[in-house]
Amino acid sequence: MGKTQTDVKIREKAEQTLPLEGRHGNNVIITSVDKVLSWARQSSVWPMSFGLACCAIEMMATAAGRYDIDRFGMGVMRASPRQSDLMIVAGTVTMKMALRVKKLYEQMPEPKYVLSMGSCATCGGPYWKHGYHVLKGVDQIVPVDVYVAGCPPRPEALLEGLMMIQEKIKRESLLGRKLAPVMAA
Amino acid sequence: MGTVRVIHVSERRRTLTFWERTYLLEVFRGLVLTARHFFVNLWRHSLWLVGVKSGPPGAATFQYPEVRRPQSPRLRTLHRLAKRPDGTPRCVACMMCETVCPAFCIKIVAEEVDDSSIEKRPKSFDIDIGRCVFCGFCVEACPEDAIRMDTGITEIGALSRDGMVLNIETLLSLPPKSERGDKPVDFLQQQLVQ
Amino acid sequence: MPKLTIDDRTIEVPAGTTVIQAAEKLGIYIPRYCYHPGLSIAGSCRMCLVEVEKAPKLQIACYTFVTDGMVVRTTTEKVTIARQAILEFLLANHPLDCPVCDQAGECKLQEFYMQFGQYDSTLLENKLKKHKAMPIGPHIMLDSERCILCSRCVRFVDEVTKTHELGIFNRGDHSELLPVKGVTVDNAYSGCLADVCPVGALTDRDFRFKVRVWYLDKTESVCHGCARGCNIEIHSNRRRTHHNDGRLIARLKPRFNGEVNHHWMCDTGRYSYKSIESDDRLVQPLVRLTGKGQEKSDWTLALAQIDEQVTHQVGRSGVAAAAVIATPALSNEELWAARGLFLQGMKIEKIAHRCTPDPNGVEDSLLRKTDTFPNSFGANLIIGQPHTADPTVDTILEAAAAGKIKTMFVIGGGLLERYSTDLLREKLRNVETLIAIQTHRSVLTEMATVALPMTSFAEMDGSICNFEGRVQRYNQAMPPVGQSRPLLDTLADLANRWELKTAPRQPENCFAELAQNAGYFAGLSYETLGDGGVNPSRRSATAATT
Repeated sequence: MGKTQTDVKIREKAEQTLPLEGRHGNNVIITSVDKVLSWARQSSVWPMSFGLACCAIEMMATAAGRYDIDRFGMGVMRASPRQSDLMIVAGTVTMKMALRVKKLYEQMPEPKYVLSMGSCATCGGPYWKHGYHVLKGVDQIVPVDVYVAGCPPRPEALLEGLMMIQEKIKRESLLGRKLAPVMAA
Repeated sequence: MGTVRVIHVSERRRTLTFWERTYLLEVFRGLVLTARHFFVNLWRHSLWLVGVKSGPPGAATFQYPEVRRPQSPRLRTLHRLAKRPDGTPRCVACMMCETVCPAFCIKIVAEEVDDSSIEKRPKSFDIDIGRCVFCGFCVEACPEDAIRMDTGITEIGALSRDGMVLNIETLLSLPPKSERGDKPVDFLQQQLVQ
Repeated sequence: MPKLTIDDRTIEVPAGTTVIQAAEKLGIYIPRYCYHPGLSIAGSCRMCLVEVEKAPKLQIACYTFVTDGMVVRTTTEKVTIARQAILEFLLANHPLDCPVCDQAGECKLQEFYMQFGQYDSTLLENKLKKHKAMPIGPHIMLDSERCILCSRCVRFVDEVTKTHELGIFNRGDHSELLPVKGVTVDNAYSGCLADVCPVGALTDRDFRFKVRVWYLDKTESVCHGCARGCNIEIHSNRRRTHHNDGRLIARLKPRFNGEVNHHWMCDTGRYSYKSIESDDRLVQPLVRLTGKGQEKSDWTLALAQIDEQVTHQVGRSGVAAAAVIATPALSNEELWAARGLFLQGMKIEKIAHRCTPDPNGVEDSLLRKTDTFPNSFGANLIIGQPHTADPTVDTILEAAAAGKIKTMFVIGGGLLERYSTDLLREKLRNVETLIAIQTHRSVLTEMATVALPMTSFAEMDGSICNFEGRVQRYNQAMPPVGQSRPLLDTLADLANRWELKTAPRQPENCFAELAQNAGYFAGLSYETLGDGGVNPSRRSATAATT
């Protein structure tokens, strides 16, 4: 059954009145540069996994087969800060290590994000009251984007945190690195 | 003391055949082993995906967030404060959990209740989840079975440190895993992302 | 003197001592509920049962007088079984209140149960219900379910305060501790009822639910409520500052001192800790610059102002127009430093400490004294001059009203209770340079040219002399409130500015200096004062300053 003349005429008329998105059927997708770039960026965040203590084991578990972070595009774990987007601070940050953390953070190229994994990186963990050797929270030396609670956080929790980073990236605009308003559940 | 029985190299290794000594054959055999696992799992997983096969899927990955791993009922997850059958909180602000917490993350302020059979209740009950190490000592210590770690919520992420302090209203309104099933808890997310 | 053996250790004690007292001398603690060293012996709880050789049954240690050659054992199996049986009976009707009871952590039932209780309960019946959370007085809450009927409180109100407000009514299981019908427990020592009660039946309403006792630190100190100088313990909470409304001091408890207050303290003194962290504490220096109103300031500016104003004023009107009021609320060290600076250094003759008596002062046969200044004896020795021109605070105020005083220092508290605000305002109107070094804000700090905050007795070490002349030391329990500084530091700073001799800044060294110079304190030091204090007037006859 071919298209009759009437069909074509109706179609042409419809297309002239519809907005751009409707005119070409399913052949063309309209979007914005911001969204494409954000989608690209959030789907391939390369973490520099800073596994310092026990949280590193859970990070490895997240990277392994059962909770693959490669499904989120984060499978390429770079050892070098110069090739990574996200620094996952996993574990207790001692005063000795704090200098190195700061140095490595500064070596990361913009745009960069920090995820504080676990209780120790968030606030010093169980050592916050009496630990003379522990930095009480990595946000004292680097700006942290997302905190994940747990001791250590389960792989599900870390994945939730990574998804929050992705949400954050999604809301960033090309024109300025202004943070989007608070995200809903 | 005597002599120690040592396993000699000659006992362990036998002489290799010619093809084994070229070593490339062994490499190929290893690759075949890995590839066999890969393709068998791929086949099984594809059949499972289309619905033909019902057994375990070939790939062991849990497709989080759509599929979650089944949790043990004893898993120590986010805390909640239980209520009595009449709706009042079970907690009597005895400070056992606050005292035993090794991370000093529970802060309770007590107040008096008119009902003289109960006498005491918490005016405020804050748990700093960022500090919590999820040890479960508070659950063990509580004499009233008020604080429980059975919400099944393990995903606790926040955008700031202060957002991780849960107050008494939130803790009282969290449901246990048995009631909630797999539904997400919306208001918790909203409280965390302050 | 009879010699006896307790747990294979011998001791010789005077005749008439009971076994429980002899054991305490040896350092052996025999568990007890109804025995209290400050009250008569009841012998009703049966917890102190011990095995005495050659006696067929166990004997109570609290009412068995020692005999020569007695052999006592407190740790045998028979004794343990007896204690378990007593605890079983006591716990049978005791409510499961530990989570809500304030006595948790200092409860004798909990202690003895953890030591040797019958750990597996065999109770199948229901427990009796009695009165819960019943306020019986302004300071005491009664919970008769928790009462173990040791009758310590009944003996206290009968023998110590002689007010007979409590009694045990009904018989058997239904025995209940209750106040006599229509009577409230409002005697002046009602706070001690919470001390004597070994369980949580009588608790302090003021302390109710504030903070758990295991968070508290104890500091030995002396009450500053009156001239008796009861020995106290300051219980402060510095570990969980979100409790107790953020205040550091939770309560005061009496310490035993056989020479001063035995086991008791009065309610006025017990609840006097509230003024230490009250909202009207002066927390930063206030300065009134010429032509302007009074402003909040800092220590550097305030001290500089004092230096300038006082030098100027004294230069203009002379030392004869200067006066100092140093109240007997100050410690010996503070008075010594004040004397050193003002009398000896600046040569100000008009330095007074004697005020009119406090109209609120009450004297009774037990502890309280009408003189509500804690250190009148010390002030008399250190500031009081043995010649006829010994001024009193009244004469100084009169002179000030007449315009003869241009520079005045008012140091220490206690004036507001004795002189009304209007009176002080009127009398001090003509003083041009008024320097007030006070703990609390008042009309004095309002009118002052410079007002400096001072630490209270809980924030600094020191020593005071009670009405009998007993020198007792007290210890620092908390850091200074706000920006207040110890008076010794302030006076030393001022002395340095005027290049006068300073008294040592550390209270211990200042006391050592005082002991060297004042005959009464000769030979004393903080070490010799110890916990209970020393009364030199009982050793020597003379007591005079240089």
